[in-house]
Amino acid sequence: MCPEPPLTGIGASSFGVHGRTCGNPVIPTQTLVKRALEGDRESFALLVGRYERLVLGVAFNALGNFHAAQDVAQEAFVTAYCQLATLRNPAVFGPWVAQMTARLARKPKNRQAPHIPLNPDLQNPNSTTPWDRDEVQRVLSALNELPEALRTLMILRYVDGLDSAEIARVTRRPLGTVTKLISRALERLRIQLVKVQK
Amino acid sequence: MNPSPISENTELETILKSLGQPLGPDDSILPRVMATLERQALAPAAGSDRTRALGLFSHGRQVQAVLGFSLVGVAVALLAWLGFFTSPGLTMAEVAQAVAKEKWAHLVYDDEMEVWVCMDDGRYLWKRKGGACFHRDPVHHTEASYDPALGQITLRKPDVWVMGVTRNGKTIPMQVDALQFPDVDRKTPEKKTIQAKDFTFSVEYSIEHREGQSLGRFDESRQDALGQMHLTRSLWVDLKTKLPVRVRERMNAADREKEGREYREGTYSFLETGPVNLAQLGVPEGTPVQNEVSPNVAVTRMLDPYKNADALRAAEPKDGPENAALAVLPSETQRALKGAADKIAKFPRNLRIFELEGGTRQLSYWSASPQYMKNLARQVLREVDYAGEESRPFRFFSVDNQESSGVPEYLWEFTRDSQLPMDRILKWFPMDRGVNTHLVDGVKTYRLTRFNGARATQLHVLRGIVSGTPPPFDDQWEFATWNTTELSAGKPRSEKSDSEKLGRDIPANLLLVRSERANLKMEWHIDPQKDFAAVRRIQWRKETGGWRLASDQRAVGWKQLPGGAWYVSAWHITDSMTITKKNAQGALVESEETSTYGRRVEITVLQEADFPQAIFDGKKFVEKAVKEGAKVETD
Repeated sequence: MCPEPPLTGIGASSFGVHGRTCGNPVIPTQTLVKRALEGDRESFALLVGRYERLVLGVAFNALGNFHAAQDVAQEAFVTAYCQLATLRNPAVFGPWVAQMTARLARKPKNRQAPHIPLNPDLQNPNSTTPWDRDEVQRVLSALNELPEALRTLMILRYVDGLDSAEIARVTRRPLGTVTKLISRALERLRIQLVKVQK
Repeated sequence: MNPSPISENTELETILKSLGQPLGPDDSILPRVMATLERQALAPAAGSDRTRALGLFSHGRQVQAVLGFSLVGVAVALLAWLGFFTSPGLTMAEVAQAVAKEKWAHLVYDDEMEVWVCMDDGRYLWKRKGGACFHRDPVHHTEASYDPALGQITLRKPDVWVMGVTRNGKTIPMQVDALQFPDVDRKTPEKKTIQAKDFTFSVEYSIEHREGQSLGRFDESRQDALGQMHLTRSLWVDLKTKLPVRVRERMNAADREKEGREYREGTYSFLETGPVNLAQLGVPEGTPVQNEVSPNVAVTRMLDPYKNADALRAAEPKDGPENAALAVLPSETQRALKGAADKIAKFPRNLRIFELEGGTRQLSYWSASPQYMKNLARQVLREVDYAGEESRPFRFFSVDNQESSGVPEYLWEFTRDSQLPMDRILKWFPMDRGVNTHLVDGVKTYRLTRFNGARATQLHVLRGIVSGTPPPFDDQWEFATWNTTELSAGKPRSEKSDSEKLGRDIPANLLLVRSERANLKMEWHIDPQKDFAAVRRIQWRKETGGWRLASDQRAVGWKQLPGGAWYVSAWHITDSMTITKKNAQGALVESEETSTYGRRVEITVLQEADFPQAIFDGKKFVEKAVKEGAKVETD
């Protein structure tokens, strides 16, 4: 047993793991979820790294406030961690935490922050990777209008970077169905975007 | 602003793909999320104890959340949460920069504990009252701990090691990096309350002026296992230097009990240099070192924790580090473990267990989920470190009876084969008078102790549970989760170098499993015909005169459960110990004393409906204890 003194505080952990390749999921999401369930904090840190742009984007899209979005995103990941054991299909962690974020953002306590129209000045001034760009927000708004099943497919396809065959495997749907649904989701997204832009 | 249209699928796809790209350190909320998990000791599956050493199968072992601790971490823990709650003159970035500029941080507590952290390489040391100390060496990826009671240093390599990150070519210790938060612009003192599944956490910020110093004060409160809010920590930061100066923290239940107070305080200082080894903390020269570093794959995972963790993981063998750990064991040991794992997976999961040993009787109820026994088997095979993956892996209740009067006569006699009259025992058993009553409700752990003939009662409620097994497993499959490193150190049957003192020939039909550490040697004789259970367990301890037999335990009775699972129903045990006494002349002399006794075990397989009503109900358990006048402690 690690001879740490039995105190509260932060010990050696995955606290500051930034060495990750979020867009290139070398380790499948389901493996990271499984390891996180076994108590491996580093794996959960990798999951946070992989989905934080999506989660922040969803939160910002709902709240329009940088600080409030960060608060909600943080709460979403912490809640997701606590409820990880309830996630039936670990492969859909991304869609699941995005859905959770949207739900949290709808709570009255989180909506108290003023919704401010998009303005570059309101973005994080230190940001080197702005995630709250206008066009991204419009895509997220459109994404939010999709039915949950289609939204899940979109996230698995583009955020997780899975191909249709992999999506078919993790969602246990026929490959042909998945291909059709992705194509339909893209079309609906495009139509929705036109509506948003108008 | 006129938004540019997004109509082409290619552009749309590009934007969608960008949602999966990593954020830069200035945008990332990762440190905040991980700091929260660390601070709250949150676990997705009721905690994890990665240790496989002694006691994994001990039903008496309940591990409360033992949280990590570090010097700067104390500051970080609060400040990470408080990124928003800075006041004029004190921002997160300023505190982080101030700490990072220092060479060594030093924290001295009023219970005589000291902690040091080196900002350059993350070196981390502590020393406690009594001389116990610890050194984490990030250069060699080792952890050395000194136990003055054992008089030895134990050297280990943790299986997961993440000490910091590399930025601009420099590796920054984790503790410092945690302070590198994006600056924030909310400067109004306020209170923040976070509510999650099973905890509430709040932080308040205020300004204090003390002895001419202006200090930012952060007060953190959190919910205990019973939902009560407690002030758990206060941190003071000098508004002028931006460095933490003082911390006060609520001790854990055991320390609160031991010290007779609720909080302890620590004072920070920042030094030019600090200790670099255990000798500098006062460990005597020539102290023996117990090297528990084993050459398995898990260790290689630590070699460069600062680089891409995904790539490191991807480079692991397909069968994983735990299987590799099994592979280092003698083949006979591997066969015993594989056999035991197979039988454990098939063992019934709803049980009533009655144990009788000398003057103590214990009644237990055990109910595990179907998956849990399979997971336990995987744990034996070193495929997983923690079997309790599910939200409610198992439930367990036990109560003992240590009374000397009013005990039915048939319970005083040791008979190896007779059927214990369970109906009569259940009717008689005083469930409300146990000295030790123990409940795991699947989520929390409850320990009730009645002291001084039940004149005082104490209840400990702890968040979380650890892997556990029905009590009989402790004896018959103890070897199955024994520390892998120690099993690999135990000499296989063919090596007879220590046979004169320790070894003996055992029947060819039995398997031999051995373990060896500096002051303890174990030997188990495993019977493949009896579900790979140990038919004999021998223990030697190292004392001043050399190795001495400490315990010899033999299975003398067996029973089979419906479905065919075997268990040891009777044990014959001989314990030896060295006693120091005064002789007729008043001189101290050592003598060896031996005691022999038996243990009976009676297991009944139950159906779900057979369990006593509310036997695993934690809420009712607490209510009853409070009604009895129990003093309640929480984690």
